[in-house]
Amino acid sequence: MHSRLIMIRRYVTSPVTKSDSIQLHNLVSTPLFKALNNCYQSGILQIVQDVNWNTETTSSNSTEHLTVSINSTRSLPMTKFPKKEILKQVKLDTKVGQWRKFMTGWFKIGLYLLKSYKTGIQDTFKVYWDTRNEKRKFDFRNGALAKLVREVEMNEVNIKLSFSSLSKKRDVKVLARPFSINRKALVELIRRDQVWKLPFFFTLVFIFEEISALIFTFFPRVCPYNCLTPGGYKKLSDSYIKGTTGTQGNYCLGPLEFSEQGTIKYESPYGVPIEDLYCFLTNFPQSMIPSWKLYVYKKLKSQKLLCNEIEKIYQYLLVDDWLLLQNILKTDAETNKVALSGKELVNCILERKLYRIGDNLNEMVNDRLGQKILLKRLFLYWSLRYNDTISFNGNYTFSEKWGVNNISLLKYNSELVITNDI
Amino acid sequence: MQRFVNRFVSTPRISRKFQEFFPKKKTINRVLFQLDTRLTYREMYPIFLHVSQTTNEESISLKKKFPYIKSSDIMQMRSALITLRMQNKFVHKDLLVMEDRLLNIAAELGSNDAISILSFKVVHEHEKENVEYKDENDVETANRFIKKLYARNHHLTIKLIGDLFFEHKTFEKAEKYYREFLKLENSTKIAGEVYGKLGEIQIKQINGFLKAENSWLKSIELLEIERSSRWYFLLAKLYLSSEPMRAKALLEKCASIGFKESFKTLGFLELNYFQNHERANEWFKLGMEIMDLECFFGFFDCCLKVGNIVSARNCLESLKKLGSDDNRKTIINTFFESRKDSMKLLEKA
Repeated sequence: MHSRLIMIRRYVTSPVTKSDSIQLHNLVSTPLFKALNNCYQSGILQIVQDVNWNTETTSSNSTEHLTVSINSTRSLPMTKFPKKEILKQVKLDTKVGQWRKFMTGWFKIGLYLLKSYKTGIQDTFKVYWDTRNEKRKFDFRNGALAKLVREVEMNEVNIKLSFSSLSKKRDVKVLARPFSINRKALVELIRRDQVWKLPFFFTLVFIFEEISALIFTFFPRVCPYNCLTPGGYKKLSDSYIKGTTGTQGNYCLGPLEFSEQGTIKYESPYGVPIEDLYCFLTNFPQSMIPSWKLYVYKKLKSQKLLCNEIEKIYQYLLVDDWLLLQNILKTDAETNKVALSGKELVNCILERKLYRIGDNLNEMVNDRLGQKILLKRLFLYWSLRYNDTISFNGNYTFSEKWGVNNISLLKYNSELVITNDI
Repeated sequence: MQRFVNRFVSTPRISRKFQEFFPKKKTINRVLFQLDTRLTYREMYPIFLHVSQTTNEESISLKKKFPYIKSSDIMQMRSALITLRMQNKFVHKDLLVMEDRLLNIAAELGSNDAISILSFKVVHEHEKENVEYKDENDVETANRFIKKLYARNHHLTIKLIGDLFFEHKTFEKAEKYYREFLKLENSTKIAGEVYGKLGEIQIKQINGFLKAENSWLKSIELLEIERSSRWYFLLAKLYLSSEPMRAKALLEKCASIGFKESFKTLGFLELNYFQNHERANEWFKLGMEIMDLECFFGFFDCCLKVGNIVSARNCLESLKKLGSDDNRKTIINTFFESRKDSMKLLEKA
């Protein structure tokens, strides 16, 4: 109960968006939000909790439900550390004497942690190895993301060409369309760079041995992403959001601005100061560039290079969202159920910065109400961006609606985190 | 000494008119190098002179006078003149006449390319119902030639058939002939043109967005900027929302050869996306020189952003003067309506 109260604690509106948020109130009534909500309520979209410490009973069961082309759970950290379950199991084990129950319990916890590190390292290698062919096809450092955005554009143009005579669409209908990459490959291509953390990770484990787990909890950035424990993950998510929002009113990319009509203003990345760009890029979870390079760009005052990086993030989120929405909303979804992994849901929320300081995303995803809250935030975010776009229910392409690389869409939008009506 | 006298005596008299309109040796040499011609300037010059001084009837004697000449050389001479015309963006009446004469001579010497071009010219003129080509025999002959050349898989004829369908907006057939041409020839300059036009057909088709991109990329790879500026521009438009930096580079290339539409697009891109107001100002100024109305609008916005009140006022006055034209009146009035607030501020300042 206490944790639930923490999750839905009273929301304090920031002074920047308080008076100007005219459009955001209507997001709940948009056709896209309703369609997504229907999908969730009718069970077409399911959130699958694939994490269970007792691997013998559940892993095969859960992977059956996972839609293979959407989720890449092997590249994401665990959402729940089964500390209580392990201790309970030891407590109930009659073979373990009463006097050594405490020590055995903690020993098993340590063993579980080491096992999870081992699986994490193996998975990091697997992701790196399995994506080597895709890497040749899609080199994200050399404009492959822009190509994918053009493919999304092509799909939008196709819809325009095929429905040119029709008036505004009212229902959210998505036809299954082939795309050159599936979501799993896309996210794994972004996450494959985690392999470069392994040498440093090994060195730390070699030097500090048992204490290394403690170090990774306090310095989660040095740990490969899928080896993170929920505690470390919370520290990491808190540091990202702190870096993005800063102290109240001092936002990383500047405050979200609205036009006179109440719509979000267009802002180009070239209008954002270098410091702010650097701040945003260093606080993006799956950065596509090492932080030292970003630091060099900042010191060289190279706006162009920093803008290129932020454009890549913008494009990645656009393609990722588009693929997810296509999978969830495609018309034959009535027969096929789409399962989104709990880990992926948490990662979506983290990357899109749809949480506040103190929100424990892993705890929320393992709780039914928390899960609903996370989904609502994600649906609101998608409704804001994609409602009335031609891919779903409108007449405009995404770039026609928002302009070219509109940085306002990457800004922290505290309105999307309002969840107290659930 | 004797050599000098001989040369002086053997050199035909050059009319002053020819000297005036014919390009300089250095310029021609540069083009000949680009085209990698078989003949040198020294061998070509007397032919140019001969063609300019004689009429069509006398052209048969050309082979006797210059026995080393081939029909392909005449076509190369013609393409040298065309290249120069495109590079300079200047059409000289006499040079145009010379091009036509060279084409006729090449056809008489048996160049299939020349025959094909002339045949299609006849077909075009007939379609336009030109008085000169009302003779049905000419059209029949032209059609016969086209059929024969097509049967022999003549590359240029296939391309020109595609062009004819393209002009008539029968895109499916045009695409079919273009593809046929590209199977035969895909790395020449003509192939570059075909790729460009193929891209224009593909962009209108479902799933043709990325195909068009590839076609235009090949086109600009094979052709020089003067002949492919249109496809540079279209490619830039395609990249505008996904890769603005790349689009900017392509547009700058278009602007470097004075492609009219590129100025306003570049200006607005610099103004709204790259936020480089000075550069935007320069592009708009260039556009205003060729009386592009949208460049006036952009320049006004740019002046307001920079705080250049005097230039903004001058721009407004120019726009008011341009507003007297009925065609532009509605657009200018809409612009004034949308900039009401800034105009009021300008009056107060």
